[in-house]
Amino acid sequence: MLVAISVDPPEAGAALVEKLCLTFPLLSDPDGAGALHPYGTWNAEQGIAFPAVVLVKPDGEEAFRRDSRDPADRAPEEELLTAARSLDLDPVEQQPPHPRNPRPGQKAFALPGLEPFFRGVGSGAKHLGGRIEAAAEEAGLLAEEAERYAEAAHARAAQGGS
Amino acid sequence: MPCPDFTLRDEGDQPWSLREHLAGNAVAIVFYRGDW
Repeated sequence: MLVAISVDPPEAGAALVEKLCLTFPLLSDPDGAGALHPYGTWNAEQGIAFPAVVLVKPDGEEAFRRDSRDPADRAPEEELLTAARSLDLDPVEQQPPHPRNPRPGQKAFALPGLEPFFRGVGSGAKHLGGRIEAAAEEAGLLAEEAERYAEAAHARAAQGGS
Repeated sequence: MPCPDFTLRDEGDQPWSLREHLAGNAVAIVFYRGDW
């Protein structure tokens, strides 16, 4: 089961669920008191969450955790999936989210802007990786990730919506 | 040490609690910056 948490209000989460056709819930922790502070992911300087992934076992214990410096530093999906598979649990069907009163945040990308944004991220990462040898590997991974996101954004935009 | 429990509002403005969803399941929590 997957869930995502940010400081955005529920209606911004509803807008994102609809925009990206997400199949998991988006939770709202506006002041960080519910989960961000207790999990140590509160970015006090910006009043938002630091990117992180935590896998919690049925007994409430932590099975996997990866804290990131920024969104370009996220754990590869395969690391999380490997940790989840190692728990040897029966598969479950996640209940779909139920967005209500969708209202995107002021900085939210409109759907048509997502693909060019990620193409730009990928292009910038490739160029920097080519110029800075010490960053080449990480930049290459980011470029690959951005390309996958761009393709996903393209496919979603082709379905229509905003 | 157990992970902290929490109850937050979801995209439908309904309460969602970690403990309720841990019955026999693992839960992956993704923290993100928001405003996407």
